[in-house]
Amino acid sequence: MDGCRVRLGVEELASAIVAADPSDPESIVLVRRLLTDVAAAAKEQELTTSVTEALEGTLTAARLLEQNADAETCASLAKAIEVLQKAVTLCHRERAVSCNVCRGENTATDSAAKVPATVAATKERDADTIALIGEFLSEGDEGLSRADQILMSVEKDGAGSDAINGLFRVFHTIKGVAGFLELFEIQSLAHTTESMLNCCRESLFPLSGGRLDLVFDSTAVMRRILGELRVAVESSKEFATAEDIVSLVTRLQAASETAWDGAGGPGQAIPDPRSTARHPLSPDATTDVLTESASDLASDSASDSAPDLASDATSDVASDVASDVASDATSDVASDLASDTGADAQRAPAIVQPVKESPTVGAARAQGSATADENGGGTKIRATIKVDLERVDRLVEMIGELVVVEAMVVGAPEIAHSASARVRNCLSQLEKVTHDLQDVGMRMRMLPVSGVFQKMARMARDVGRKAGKQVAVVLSGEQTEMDRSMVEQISDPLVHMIRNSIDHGIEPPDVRRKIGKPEEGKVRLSASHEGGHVVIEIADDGRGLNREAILKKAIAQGLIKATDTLPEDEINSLIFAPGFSTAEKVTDISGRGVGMDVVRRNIDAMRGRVTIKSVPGQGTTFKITLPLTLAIIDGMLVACGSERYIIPTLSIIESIQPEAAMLVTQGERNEMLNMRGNILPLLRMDRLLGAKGAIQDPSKGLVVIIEGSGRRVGLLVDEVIAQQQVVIKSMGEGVGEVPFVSGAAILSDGRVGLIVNVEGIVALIAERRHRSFAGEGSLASVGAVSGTN
Amino acid sequence: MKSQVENQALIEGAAAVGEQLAGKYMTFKLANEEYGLEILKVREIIGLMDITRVPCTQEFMSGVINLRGKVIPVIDLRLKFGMERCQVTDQTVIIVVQYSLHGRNMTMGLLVDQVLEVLSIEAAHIEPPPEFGSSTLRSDFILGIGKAEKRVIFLLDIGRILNAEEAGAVAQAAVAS
Repeated sequence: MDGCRVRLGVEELASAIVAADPSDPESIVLVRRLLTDVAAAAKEQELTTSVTEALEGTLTAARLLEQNADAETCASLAKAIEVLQKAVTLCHRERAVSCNVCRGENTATDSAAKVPATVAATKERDADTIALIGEFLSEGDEGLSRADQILMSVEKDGAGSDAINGLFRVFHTIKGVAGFLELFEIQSLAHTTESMLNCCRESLFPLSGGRLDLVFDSTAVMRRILGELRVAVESSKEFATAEDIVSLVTRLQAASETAWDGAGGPGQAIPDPRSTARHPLSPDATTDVLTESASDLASDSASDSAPDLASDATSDVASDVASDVASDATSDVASDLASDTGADAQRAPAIVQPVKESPTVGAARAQGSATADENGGGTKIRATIKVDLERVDRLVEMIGELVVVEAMVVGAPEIAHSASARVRNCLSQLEKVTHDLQDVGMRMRMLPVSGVFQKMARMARDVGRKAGKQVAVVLSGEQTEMDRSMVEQISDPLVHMIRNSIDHGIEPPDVRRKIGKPEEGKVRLSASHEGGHVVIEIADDGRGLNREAILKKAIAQGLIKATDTLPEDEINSLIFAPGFSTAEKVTDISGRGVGMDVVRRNIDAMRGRVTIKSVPGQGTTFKITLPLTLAIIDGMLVACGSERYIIPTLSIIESIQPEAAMLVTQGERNEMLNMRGNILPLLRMDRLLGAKGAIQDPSKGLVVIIEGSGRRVGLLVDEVIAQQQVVIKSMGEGVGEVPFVSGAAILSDGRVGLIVNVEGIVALIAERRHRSFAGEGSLASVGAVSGTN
Repeated sequence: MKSQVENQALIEGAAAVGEQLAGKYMTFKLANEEYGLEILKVREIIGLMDITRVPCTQEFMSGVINLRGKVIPVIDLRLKFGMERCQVTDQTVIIVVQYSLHGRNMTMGLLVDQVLEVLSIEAAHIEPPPEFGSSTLRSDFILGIGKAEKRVIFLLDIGRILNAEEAGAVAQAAVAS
């Protein structure tokens, strides 16, 4: 709450200095007293350097005023306070997402204030941000046209709750994304509109007359701002905020505060500062007007004896906007201040700093263009359209058909042997175009995981705050692409796993300090392609899984018997059982035992796999391995008897023609291959997959060494036919899970080839080893085990 | 009296089944038996093509085929119904059916001996499936029995012929190397 005290104090101070008269000693004393209060409150907590600097400047100015109480020094103090006010507001905004959070009487704010994730999130501005802005713009446009449609119908038929809810949603969405993108001006406009609509929703007053006009204005202004934002980003110019936002915000705010009768004629009772603010003004004048409105709003909220949360928050945002709008004029103020107070010139930039650092779109674009734009010109926001997913699927499917037909045409003997150079030219062109088309088609469904990852980073920060823990999220491999439906589906499991990592894994700061870890916990979120799979890892450096507690709980719940001895992996995977939780108490973050169940079910649904590695005291790593449902892989086409299979090239280490001397047999059953001293298990593909007519003598066939999950296995096949790119297709509904086969692909002759699931084969070896250790030595349950892959 | 009432109820029940099932069916042959599929569920009939065997699946799962870029499973209906594997002739075809099961769209090929005709069967000529008792093979995929010119046609409920769990059940023998 201290952060608020300083801010409120400064606001009070700002209104006091406006009222202060150099000829009235009492008013000067009041200013002095308030200043001392603020300084004292500021000392009690950590504030940003900018605030401290500004405070120093103010104190200097106040001392000057005491020595020589005249209008000039009074004005310079007023300017100093203004700077202080901005610095405090900025500082406040950095530390709490919205004022509601810190007014909500919670204690989390203080611990949250130390979470540095905010800074990391605001400074990361690159091509991604521009992509996000592009998305925001198209979404916003869409929302606004929906809002317009609703408004028209409201004007004609009156406002129903559906209509108001519809409008509310539009502005709420815009507010959310604008907040995320730190477009505070847009956020505040959306927020105030939303607040007013909320009052309408709660039937405090009807949505009609002037209020309806206001919402119309709001959509119009919003649309214009979005347009300006687009232009600004595309042409790499500063995104200048329109001054009429502030006036509109004020009017909206007034509209939601006063019980004003809509029948009284539009706009009559609503103060319209636009009349002053609208005219083009010199920077100084603009600053004055804006500061005025800002401090008006500030003093409103400070003196409001019956705190209405919504309107308070509104005025906060409004003052934020005012300070942002004034940012270009602030440098003048700051340099004035520096010379007025006689401080050295060094200080001026320091004071201006908070404003310059304020995350404006200009800064975002500047950085973004540096990385994204190589032409030196403007950054083009990618225009997007929304297309029904089914149509995309259909298109991709058709392209697939085209590719097959193309291969058939090109391969047809009548044409292939054609001597005509013209035909051959046309054919090669056809081939090229078809493959380009295929490439484009495939890419249409692929998305980088960065969007989801950024959401996770944001959520981790919030959860960390709630749990009172310091958490830094490290992202890597955000550009890894996967099928868009999977990008959507992966979000839920990630949320649960990250929550778990933070709530259960990472220790509270004091505990971490005691055991010699840095106070700040780390959650690493990474994505990569690995052997034809997408691998997503969530690693924390917390306390690790408590195996004893898991076992105890599992026995209590009857999941295992007390006499069972389980290998580490199996103990760890007990946490995926439904309703399983070792948390002593249920918090609002986790502890109900639902999350991990959801994780496994979602990942199973994606035909993925999740494994856990945990070292007590050092942390837990969740590794999610997902197939690429609709992706192209490089495959090696191998023959096995009369059948052909595709082995993902990424999983192949090498292939050799074994000599008889390299083959080792144990117990007539377990065959091994001696590869330059390394003994590898040798599996026969025909026996594994039940193919007939394959070469039985290993020295006549070919051994493909495959690797999965860090293990290597030799696979005996007849021969390698070709290396080719194939499109992974699902085996079709109805086939279900097949061990050792991860999918199908259409081969160039139009037949279906099956893709070998290397992980499944390697898991078979591990399984076999495990079983033989357990003394069973049989493979009876292999099918069932692999089926869960 | 009582048995008469029961009989009446049975007849009414049969009439209801008939009403429900009346419509057009595509009939095909397995050995000497005739079967009917609801025409709306039949997407197309294609000639026999190369079927890629899928390892470690049940015997009746013939494999997968490429239906214009889409991979679909093919079931040998003879094996599914416990008959002998069919000898491939020039009459052997794959009937591609499409239906929705638990909200998922399933497309599947059915390997049959011979396609006969599209038949319109009236309600009066449809009887409920007979009770075989629990000792015999599963027969719940038979919706009813249609009669046409002394022929008997088993009307199939395609959704029950195969469910994903069953197909996914793995033949253990194939793995034991």
